[in-house]
Amino acid sequence: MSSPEFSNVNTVIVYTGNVMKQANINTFKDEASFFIFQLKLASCLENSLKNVNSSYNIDQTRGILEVPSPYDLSYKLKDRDDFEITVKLFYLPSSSNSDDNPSTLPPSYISQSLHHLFCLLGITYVDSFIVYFNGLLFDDQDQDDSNLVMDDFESLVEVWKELESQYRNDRIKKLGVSEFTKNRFERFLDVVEIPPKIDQINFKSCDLPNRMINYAKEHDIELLTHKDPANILPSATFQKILKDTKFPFTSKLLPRWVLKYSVLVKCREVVANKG
Amino acid sequence: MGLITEGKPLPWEQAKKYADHIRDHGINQFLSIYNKTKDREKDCLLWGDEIEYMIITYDDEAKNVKLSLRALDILNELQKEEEEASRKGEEVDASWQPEFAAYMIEGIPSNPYGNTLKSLLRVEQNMKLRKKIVSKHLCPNESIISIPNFPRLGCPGQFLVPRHELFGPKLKSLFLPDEAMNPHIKFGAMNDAIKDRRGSKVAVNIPIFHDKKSPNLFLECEDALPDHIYMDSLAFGAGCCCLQTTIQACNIGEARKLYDQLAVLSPIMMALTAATPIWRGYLSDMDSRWLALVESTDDRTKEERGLEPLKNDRFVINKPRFDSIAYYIADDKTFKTEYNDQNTVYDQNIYKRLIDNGVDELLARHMSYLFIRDPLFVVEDSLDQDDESSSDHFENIQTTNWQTVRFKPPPPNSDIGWRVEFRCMEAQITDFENAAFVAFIILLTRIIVSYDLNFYIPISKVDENMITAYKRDALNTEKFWFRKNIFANYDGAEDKFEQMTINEIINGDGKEFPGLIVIMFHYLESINLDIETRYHLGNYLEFICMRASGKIQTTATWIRNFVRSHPNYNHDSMVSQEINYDLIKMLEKIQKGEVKVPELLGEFKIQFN
Repeated sequence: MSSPEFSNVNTVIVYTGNVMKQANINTFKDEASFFIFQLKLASCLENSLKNVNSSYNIDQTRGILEVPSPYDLSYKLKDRDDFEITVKLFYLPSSSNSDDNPSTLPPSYISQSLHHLFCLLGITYVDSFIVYFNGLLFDDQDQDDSNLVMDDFESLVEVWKELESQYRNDRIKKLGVSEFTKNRFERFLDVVEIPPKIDQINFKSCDLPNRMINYAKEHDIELLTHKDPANILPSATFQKILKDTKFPFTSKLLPRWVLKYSVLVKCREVVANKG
Repeated sequence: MGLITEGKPLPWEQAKKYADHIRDHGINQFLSIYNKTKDREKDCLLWGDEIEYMIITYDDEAKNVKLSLRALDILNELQKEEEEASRKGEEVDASWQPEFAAYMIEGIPSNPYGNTLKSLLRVEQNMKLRKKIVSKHLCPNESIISIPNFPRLGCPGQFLVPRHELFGPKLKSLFLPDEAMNPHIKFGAMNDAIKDRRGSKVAVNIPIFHDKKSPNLFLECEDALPDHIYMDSLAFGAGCCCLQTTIQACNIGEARKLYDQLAVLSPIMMALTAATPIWRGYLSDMDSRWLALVESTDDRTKEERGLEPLKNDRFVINKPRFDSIAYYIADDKTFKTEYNDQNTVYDQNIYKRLIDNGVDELLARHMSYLFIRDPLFVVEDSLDQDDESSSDHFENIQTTNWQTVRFKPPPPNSDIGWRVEFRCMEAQITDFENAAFVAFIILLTRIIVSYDLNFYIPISKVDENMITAYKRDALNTEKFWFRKNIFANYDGAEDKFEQMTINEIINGDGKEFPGLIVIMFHYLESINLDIETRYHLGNYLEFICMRASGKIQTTATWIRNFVRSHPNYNHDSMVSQEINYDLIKMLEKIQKGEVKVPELLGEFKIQFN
């Protein structure tokens, strides 16, 4: 791989492929579920990056290098109506591309990530889009809201405006947030036009968050669960993978976002594709 | 006992003349259904459950508990209620059926559950509702319970009310009165057919559990084995309560795949749900009802059992009607023909007919194996049927093959799809447990399809596992053949089977094998599951996790311990009237959540409302 080809590249998109069909002994090794997705995401990314020499796509004009998954299964969906596609965009700690303001959340990641997913799966819309703003943690009692300072909040709303725009363009059927408490919701609903219909909370098996459950019932919000770790792809982990797979890009790459998608067969609860 | 039509059945000597007619038309009916529905696609996930219950009555003064024949009256009342409600257009939640024993009733949800996993929460709700509905018809000293068998069925003294004479003309049992059998004509006919066809009474022999002072059992009867608890009637097997669940697949291919994969899991599930340690008042050396059912329904003649040279019968049959499956049937990339290594006999003519009519080899052999059996219930007036619209003859043979899983084609002219019935689980004391096991099976089917799981091992090993599974405390002390590489690999990877403990199979071995429950939790994170459903399903899976690891006891172990630690127990394996009374009283309290039994149920909340 010669350097000139990559001189224009400023963005790298790595695909994991369908993780449902990639289960091997590494997938379930670690009992601690906190690490499971992180480990898997890391190992899937590693698998894709290991093979970058044999398959990659470059968009020279836009400076994008795409690293596909070596498990080349036909992703393009047939009979789109039979499936329910849910995506979750994680704004990572290093998501800001502004040196001045490290806590801005570029709304452009939404259209960027959606664009790549649409191409991958051959679709024109997703059923649910959930956005996770880095650092948010759920606490049913709303004891600690230090995470949501004024600057951050404005940034969230900007991102949301972009989501609303995608919604109005029929590219997203339902909008959702993650780790929102009752207080966060109330603040949010004051300033946004299209309210979130989904709130995805990290599942803890001990107690049910009754305060949020009641609030959700009153406001017709679907309260879903997840077990994603708070930081799904630490920069250090990603950079280690780049080093281990001898990725030919010399400058430091920072992971900005992770888009997790799930393709569910409607009325059968079968996971057809997940990556 | 399966779908049987109304009408007066023929006695065996006459019925057997129509065996070929019924088989012939049964195959026609199957072909008609098959050709019309083999291309059905995209059927939704729907499922149902079936539980059998016993009605008991307490005699507190005499410290005795007995099975009650009032079950028949209660069933009548329940069915009338159901009809009334349907007529008025009211919602009906549960439906009721008679069962072989006159002290049993069977309850099912009126509508299937599905198609989202959220519906799994309705299972426990409906099960509790069933008990509530029945309770309205019970007298103060009566109760409804759902353990697999009544420990003192067939004991000297009174175990059935009203009391009746033993050794009646129908059952001819040394231990049971004829009245223990449901008087409806079809049950008697089934009983007669099995006895008459076989040429003798059935013989069930369950090894006794040897405690310090256990007696050496023998009876003056040539069919009784020494040191075994001998039982001489179909009623002992058919009078057991089971927990069954039927799942609708999206198409015939998925149904066939689930049939195979669930068949492999049958021995595992039986060991997990084991709840039958006592027979005829003796502690046995087995924890499940399976062997009693196999032996009490065995209609094979001596020739068919290989005890005498073949003269009148067509084949030697190495499997009885009630047993684990004989053949895998999935037309799947992961299937290899060497897995079907038992070579059980099948009807060559029927096989050829099916092949000639477009059925593939695997399915043809499955059907032609099922169809070696004679129909046990033949009604003269129903012999002529329109094979394009009726499936009675097909169902006649299909439902009197009692296997661990049943492959169910759609009924003619209906909107119901291809289904698989999972039949071997033992009924548990509480509905929390019953619902947990139903949930486990449904989740198992979801992970099989979502992750393309492959559990194939040779059928001979599944049979071996089945025998291992009903041993005393098999869950904690035995190992089962299981496939190591369960994630489908189409590159022709080597088959890796190993003997694993149930704990390893369910919870993982900490090294290479993830464990079924770990995969299920991973699956739950991949679907859009709301928090309440996730919470309850999490509880069900945690519960099964604890059972599998031995942290909490199986029902069978718990019952054994209860008996052996009872102050009146004499270390002689005998469950006296008084021990039985205390046991059943306790089981009722557990069922209602009135007493905590952490050794059986951990800290899980049992709510009975």
